[in-house]
Amino acid sequence: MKAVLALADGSWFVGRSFGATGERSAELVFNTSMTGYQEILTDPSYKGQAVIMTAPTMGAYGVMPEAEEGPGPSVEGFIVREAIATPSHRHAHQSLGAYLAEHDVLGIEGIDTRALVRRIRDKGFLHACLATGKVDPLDLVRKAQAHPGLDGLDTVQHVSTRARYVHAQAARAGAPRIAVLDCGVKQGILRALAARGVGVEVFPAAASAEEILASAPDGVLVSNGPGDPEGLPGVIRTVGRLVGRVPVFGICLGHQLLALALGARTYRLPFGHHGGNHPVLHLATGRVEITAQNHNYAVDLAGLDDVLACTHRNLYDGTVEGMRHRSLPVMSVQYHPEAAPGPHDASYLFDDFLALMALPAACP
Amino acid sequence: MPKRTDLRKILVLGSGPIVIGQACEFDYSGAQGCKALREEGYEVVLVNSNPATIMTDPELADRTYVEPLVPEVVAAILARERPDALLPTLGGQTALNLAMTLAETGVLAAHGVALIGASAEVIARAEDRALFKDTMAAIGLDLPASGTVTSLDEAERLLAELGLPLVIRPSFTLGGTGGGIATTAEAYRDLVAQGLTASPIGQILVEEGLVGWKEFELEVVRDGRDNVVIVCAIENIDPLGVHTGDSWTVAPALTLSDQDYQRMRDAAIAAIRAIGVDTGGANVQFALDPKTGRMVVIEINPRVSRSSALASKATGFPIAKIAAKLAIGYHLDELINDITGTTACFEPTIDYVVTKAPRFDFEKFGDTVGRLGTAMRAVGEVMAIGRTFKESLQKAVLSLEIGATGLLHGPADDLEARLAEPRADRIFAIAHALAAGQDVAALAHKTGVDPFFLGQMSEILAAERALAALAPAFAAETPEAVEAVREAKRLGFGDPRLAALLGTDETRLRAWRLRHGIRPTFKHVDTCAAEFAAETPYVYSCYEDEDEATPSEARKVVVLGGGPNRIGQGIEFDYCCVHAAQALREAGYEAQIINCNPETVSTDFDTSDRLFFEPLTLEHVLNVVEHERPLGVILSFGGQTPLRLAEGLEAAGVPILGTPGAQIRLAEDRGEFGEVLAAAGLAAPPFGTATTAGEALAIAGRLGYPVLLRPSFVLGGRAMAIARDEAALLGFLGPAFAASAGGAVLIDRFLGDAKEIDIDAIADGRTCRVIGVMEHLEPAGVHSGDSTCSLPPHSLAPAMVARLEAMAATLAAALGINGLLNLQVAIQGDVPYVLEANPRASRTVPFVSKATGTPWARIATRVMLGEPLAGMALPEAPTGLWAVKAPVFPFDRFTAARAVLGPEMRSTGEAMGLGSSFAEAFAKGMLGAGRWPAPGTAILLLDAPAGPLAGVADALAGLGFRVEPAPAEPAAALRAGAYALILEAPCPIGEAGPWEPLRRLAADLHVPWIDTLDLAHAYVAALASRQGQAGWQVLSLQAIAPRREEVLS
Repeated sequence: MKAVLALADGSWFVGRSFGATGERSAELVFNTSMTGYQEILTDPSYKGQAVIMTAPTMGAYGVMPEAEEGPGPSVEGFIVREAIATPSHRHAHQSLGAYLAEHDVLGIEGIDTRALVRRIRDKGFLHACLATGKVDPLDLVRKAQAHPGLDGLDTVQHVSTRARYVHAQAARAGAPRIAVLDCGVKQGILRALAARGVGVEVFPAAASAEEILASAPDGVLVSNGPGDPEGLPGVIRTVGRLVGRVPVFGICLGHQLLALALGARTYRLPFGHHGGNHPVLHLATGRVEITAQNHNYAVDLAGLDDVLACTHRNLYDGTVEGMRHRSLPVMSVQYHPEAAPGPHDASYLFDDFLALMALPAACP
Repeated sequence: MPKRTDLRKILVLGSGPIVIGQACEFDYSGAQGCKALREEGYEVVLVNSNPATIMTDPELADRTYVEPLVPEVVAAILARERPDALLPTLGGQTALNLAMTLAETGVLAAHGVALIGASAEVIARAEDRALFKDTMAAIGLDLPASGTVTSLDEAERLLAELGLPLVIRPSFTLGGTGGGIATTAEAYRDLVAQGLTASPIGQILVEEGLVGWKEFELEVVRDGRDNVVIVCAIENIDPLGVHTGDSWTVAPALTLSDQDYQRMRDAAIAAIRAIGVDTGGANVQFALDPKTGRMVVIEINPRVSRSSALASKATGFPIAKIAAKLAIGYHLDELINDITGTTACFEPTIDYVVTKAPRFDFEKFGDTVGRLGTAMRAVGEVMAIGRTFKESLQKAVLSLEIGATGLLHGPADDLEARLAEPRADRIFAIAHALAAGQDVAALAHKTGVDPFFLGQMSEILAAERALAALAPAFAAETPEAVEAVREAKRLGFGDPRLAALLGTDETRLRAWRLRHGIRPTFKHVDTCAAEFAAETPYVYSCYEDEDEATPSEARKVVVLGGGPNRIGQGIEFDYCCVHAAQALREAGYEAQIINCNPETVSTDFDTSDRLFFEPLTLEHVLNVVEHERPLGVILSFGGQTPLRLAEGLEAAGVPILGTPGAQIRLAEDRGEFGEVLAAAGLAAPPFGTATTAGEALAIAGRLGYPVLLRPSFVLGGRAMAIARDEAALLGFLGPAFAASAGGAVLIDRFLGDAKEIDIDAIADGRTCRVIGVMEHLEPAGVHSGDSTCSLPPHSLAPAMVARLEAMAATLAAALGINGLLNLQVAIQGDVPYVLEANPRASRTVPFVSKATGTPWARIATRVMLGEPLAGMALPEAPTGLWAVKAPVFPFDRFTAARAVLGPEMRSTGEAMGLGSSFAEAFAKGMLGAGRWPAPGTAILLLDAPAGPLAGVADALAGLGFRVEPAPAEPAAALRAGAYALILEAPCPIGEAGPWEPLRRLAADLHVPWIDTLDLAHAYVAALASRQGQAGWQVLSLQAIAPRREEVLS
């Protein structure tokens, strides 16, 4: 079946449908990872977005339960040069197309994805409307233009857990317990914590600071998640109340929320960072980490030098990739130490967080 | 850390003559390395015995020594140049082993030379199988169960312990030489014996045979601050057990989940940290059990490699250049990715699929089966870029130049045998099996090829069937047919295959699709999948919506490259293409190159102004020409490959620079050429042209035996043979007709007892300049590429040289040569006979250029652009300087081959010896080619008393050598290392003579075997000149290049 991807700039691309049928409007982003399509599809941070993969061949190893980063796919649409219908992998349960169809996600293959990526690179992120079957491209262009986008909205409410739950018991008596503020948390983060033997309890993004503190955690991790951090004033307040009362580690959206809570500013990047090859300089060691990234907004620390220290910087564009509070046990990174998908170079950050919690000053 | 300031002068080792497993990828790496070091202000001293390399161009180093890569000679260079450091990681296994020897024997320490790039400890941990195993086990990485063996007894114990199948890997050998997989105890014992011999330290690793496992390679770069990046993951389509150099491979890895890949990435990083590769590139090979996910490390190369060259071409990340800069102290984040202008400390991401395909030449070695194993046997490779695996696979097939227009190539019979074991043509057997209805699962089980790849091939074949049904719609030009052809082009189908499927011819099909707007788009290779705007000259074609490669307004010339290396067409032609690009750029033209060989310097993205990484077929060349509208196309530097396109390009109206197509035909068509010779009053052996066996017999009968058979339009003497009677003639005719592009076979009267001469010349239509006259040391009948030769001629009278030069000028005029001409002449008695004329650059152009200190390919390019020779200040050849070209042969890898020289070329490369006498140059040439006798052992004489070698034997005895007749068990003595050199009385050319098995053994043991008189005399002269000499005189090219500046200006 034919499928059309129409952009708000008036252009459209015709391809073939390989997932669900129907019509979706979304923000369009591209991801440069060569592996890990299922982790990307199921990362809740992609809520409200359709993803173009720059690597052309997707689905070769199928879809498998161990690659789920959230409860099923979060993306609105998945756009690839070529989808493989007959996967080959010892863990493959299903083909990529069947998986998308089952979860009502649109898939489009066969279009010149590189041309599309170059368009986004040059014009910045674009709103898009995707549809399958016989459709009028101009109608889709209008719908793309009418799409409100994600700026200023609370997208987290759609992906955060409704009720708190225990993900992992502490492996041994006395091991730290960590509360995770779920803004759309990836399973990889929960796995990375649990693998270190700590107790992990997950709270809804709407939980109050008091509710979280009442569980007497040794530390709080503010998770990744979708959308514009400025659309989450309630969560920012919650994070602000946690800071100084418990060690806090922010990842991605969690990093942005911490920054906003501490008086910094966030802004939209032209087309974001989405991929598994971004070099990040760890300023303390002078070493470079190859990182997994997925964000459209970034943190500006200007004017906050006496409160917050930049700890990591992106070597591509110089943007802030990590920070630390100068006096309180607060650390955060813009990228993904849990990887999933992506390189494991930054997994030491979870150990740094455990070390931060263990500091005498960490428990005021 | 910025670059080291404690170093000033750095010695770089090259990799020597081209051999299987170590080819021009090391010229690419070394040339990049030398450029990178000089860019940083270091003085570079280069040693490489291979004259056909770009790295030995005098501009690339401050001092260039085309000298043998042996410890004694390098020690002499170290003593003379006193460098601060030695960089051994760019010259393959040869350089690494040589550096190890120099370190272990204390030579480096004695001269205060530091090893940079890899220390002796690192090299030992990676290369010594036992140390490697311990190092990997210490960091918890899984390895195949294995044991180290230095004797047959130990091998028996391991056999009992591990069980079959077993893999045998000799330590410190190149391209897996001497190794293999044993599935029976007998084969195991044979391989153990062979491996112990092949290993210079007499040690092998025996490991469990992981049959059917998938194989991957990660190209890793690490800097002195422990930053590590993976440049590329390469997946082998062939399962473990086929040497990676013989495997079809893809990049990126396509069948690994992210969890699989990250596990491998973590392991690769841990492994190179443990080995201690602290700066530069390394290659880590893994095997993965597709059933369980168990992953093991196979091996690590602590240096740039064939795979790193492939990874560089596949991603645009110049590993060798970066490795050189890391070796002098830079950190990755201090270096810039030239393509994007962003940091070089990153991992490339690619938005296309690359397929590498090996090129084999088994038929030259009497092997019709082409079984593959753990020792590499491919003589070259191609790389193809497509937007999908299907497109890149089909482009790779087209790039191979084996006559394949699609996957269904070659015979469709004997499939089960061809599927059951890895063979050179297995991919085509798989295609035939799929076409015959075998299912993917069964084929995966039989071949160990992942079902993903088989499924993709199956989809290509399904598309073929659908297209074949569309012939009527195609004829009617329906919209459905237009859509189908567009889709087929997106799947990588070439026009010839589409034409065959749709019932038309290539020309009509091309016109049809252009009429319907189906033309390729060109996309950039940019390291970043378009995430950043990039200025890159590196492009490939595909059938997409957007063309990114807007043609410039500049005056352009397109140079066609030589395609895959093969015996007869290798680095020498790439050298010429690179020089052509340099000359074009110097003359103010935009130089564009089309080539598909990832090992080469010509496909380095900064060699040309625009590089089209494309198959060298008429279709793909026309695509580029239509896109770029160049002033002209240069065909004469890429060997036979571009010449085959001359007619098609001219028919399409493409302007050809240099000798025009009609003139090329004149030289290539034996009948027309005969008329040219007759008109010019030049002698040639009587000949006839046969298109049937009957005609051939009649011609041979008329000429008288022996006769020489030669197919037309072939290179490297493919299927050439000397027939001494009717029966032999009939036996040779089949292969000869099959090899001939035009279907005709030429039959010459064979000139016995003749001396052969190679002549290279440049002509511009008015003037002809002979640039080199080379005298062969083997008689006519031995292929010129396999001959040892001397420049200037060491025994020809000046009058004969003058006569030969005059002949070249006459022929250049008669053939209308514009650019280069190569002539082969046989002198019988004192009459020179013209054997053939090649209206193009020959294999010897780089040798002549190095020996005369003049870049002749560049001068030829200027001639093709219209500059008259008369106006150029061309230097005379240096006097008092001798150069000898000494070929090397791959007989040790082809056990079925007769180790005999004849009209069909089988050498893979050559070394050059330079000296102030013929004897010195000859000695150094042979030393560089590994054909110089080892000291202290006897010389075996296989000749009747008072036979033709009696004089030679006496002379050698007079020099103090022990010359011995054959003992009762010559093979045992040879195996025991009794002989340094073997002399055999000459036998008829191309025939092995009475000592064939012994000759075969000598080839395996690399003991020089001499069976021609001129060569024997040359050895005597050379050995005499070495009397009383302890060391070697060394000479840099800079010291001999006369007035280079003026020539280049």
